[in-house]
Amino acid sequence: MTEFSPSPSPRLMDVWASARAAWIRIGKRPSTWVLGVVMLLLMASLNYGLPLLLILVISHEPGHAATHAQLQTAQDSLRQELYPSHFIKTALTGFTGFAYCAAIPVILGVLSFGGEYGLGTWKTLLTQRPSRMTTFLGTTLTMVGILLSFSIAILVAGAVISIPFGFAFGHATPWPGLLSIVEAVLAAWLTMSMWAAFGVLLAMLFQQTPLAIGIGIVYTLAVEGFIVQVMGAVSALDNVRRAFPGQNIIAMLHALPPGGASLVSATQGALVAAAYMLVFLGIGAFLLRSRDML
Amino acid sequence: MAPVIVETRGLSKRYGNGTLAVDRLDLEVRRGEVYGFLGANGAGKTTTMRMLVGLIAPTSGTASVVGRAPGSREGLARIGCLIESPGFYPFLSGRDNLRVVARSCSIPDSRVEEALEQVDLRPRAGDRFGAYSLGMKQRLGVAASLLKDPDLLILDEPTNGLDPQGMVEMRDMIRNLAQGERTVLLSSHLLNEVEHVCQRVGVIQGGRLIAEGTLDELRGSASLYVRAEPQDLARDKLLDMVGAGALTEEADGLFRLAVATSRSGEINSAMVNAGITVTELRPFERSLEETFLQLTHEQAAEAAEAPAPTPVEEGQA
Repeated sequence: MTEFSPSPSPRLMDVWASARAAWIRIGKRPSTWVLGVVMLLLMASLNYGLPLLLILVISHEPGHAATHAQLQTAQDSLRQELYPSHFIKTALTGFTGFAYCAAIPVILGVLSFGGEYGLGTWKTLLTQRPSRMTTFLGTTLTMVGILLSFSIAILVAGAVISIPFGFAFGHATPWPGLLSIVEAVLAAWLTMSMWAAFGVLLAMLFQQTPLAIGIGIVYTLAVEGFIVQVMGAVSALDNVRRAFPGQNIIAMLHALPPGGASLVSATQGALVAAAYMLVFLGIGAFLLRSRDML
Repeated sequence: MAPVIVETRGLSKRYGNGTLAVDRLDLEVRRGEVYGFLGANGAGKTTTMRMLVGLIAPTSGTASVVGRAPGSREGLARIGCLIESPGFYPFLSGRDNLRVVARSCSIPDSRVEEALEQVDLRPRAGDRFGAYSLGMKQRLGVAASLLKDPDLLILDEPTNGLDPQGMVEMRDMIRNLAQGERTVLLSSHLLNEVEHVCQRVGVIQGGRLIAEGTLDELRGSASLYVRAEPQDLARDKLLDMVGAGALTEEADGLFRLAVATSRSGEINSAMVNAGITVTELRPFERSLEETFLQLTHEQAAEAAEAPAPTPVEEGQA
């Protein structure tokens, strides 16, 4: 007679096997790629379409002589955002200014894990040979792999969109250095992975997708996107703001060219984001390992 | 006697809301048999099966499945299971769903086609699972459980929701799957299904195993019913032949003989030769349904009379 043993230690080959299995179920899930396309469309429309619209509006603004100089400055500033030299910052504006680059990874994280509760597929996955931890790690590996493709896609799309603007405004060069581009991909990847890990935690906590997605979106849009930004008006709350993942991510992304002011250093921002990701995944894994699968 | 492949001792499960779903269950399933786990809805069958495959942890007691701990990597490698309804991805094809399962276990994709063939689902394997009929979904669930070519198949209510034709097909499939050394643990609340498929049966009620044995053992010995005229002569003759211990006189001049049904010819000849007119002579065997109802009613009556059960000791798992 032997004791109940739901989760022996994961083995590397089993993790890889689980990741390959997860690639079918997450990679072939239409919603995964719908999320990716929505993210690209939002990036193109908000980060490039909106500035272009403002430039056009300003150029047709009659304006008085006194305001003409101000309008010209604003127009120049907006144009700069569209040049290839600024494509990293512009493509990643969604990670700092708009919260959609947090909300979409949260949704992906919730669907990758919480969807199994709704479909009743955990029992199928967890009664195969790999342990619960192996299945969790394999699924996580696939999820972050998909997010890497999202990160690359968003920067490639930004670069491609900036080319016609560069030629149109006579600033087709220079381009950011290769190292900066690689750093940008990694920063975007870490950012999305952290938010996806937050989604994983919510999915495992609530054992369903609707509530987890709802709370995830409320947190990213309302708390990180609004309340924490409002707290920025009170310098006495800076230490509190430093604890929020969003502020650390902004610090990490502001270190990329052309740069920007931040509450903490880029290194600290990256480390805190990574720590949050590991904590979210750790708690999620613990919940999967320790709970009955009804 | 074949070795034991599933064994539980004092296995119990109390859920967080206080419900005692399985109560000190002692179960033994032997290699190569089709074991029927029979019980009404809510009797504790699914909870037991979930414990056997490691989906839920017992509150107390121990279990061994294919010689390993429930839920262990080595144990699961030799078990195929279908717990309640099949859990698959509706947006994937039947084939892709099986590939998910196969890749999880590092089984080559070629095995997927073999499993699809075994359940006769290959022609529709490219269709989305969401578009499958209930019977096809159940068959895909069985195919998934066969991917590992398991020593032990655990099937929880595999005919649930199927139409009569689907039920017959599923039973035939289970009988085929149980050929050779493979063991099948089949839970069901359908007596007919258990009677047609299983060699040994465990009856569970209120989370407790109230009876276990072969179908014949559970049904009890077969007997003969005899009706004859004149009754007095018939009684004397039957007493001579079978003895007082094996003769019961029931209503309307009907005699019940606790003897092998193969003696019917001998008894008939002897009575006719003695000038007795035999008007009725038929074998009697209790159906599993009658046996089940008797067992469960007896158990319910005992439970009503007995003092409150001892609380299950917690934290022993």
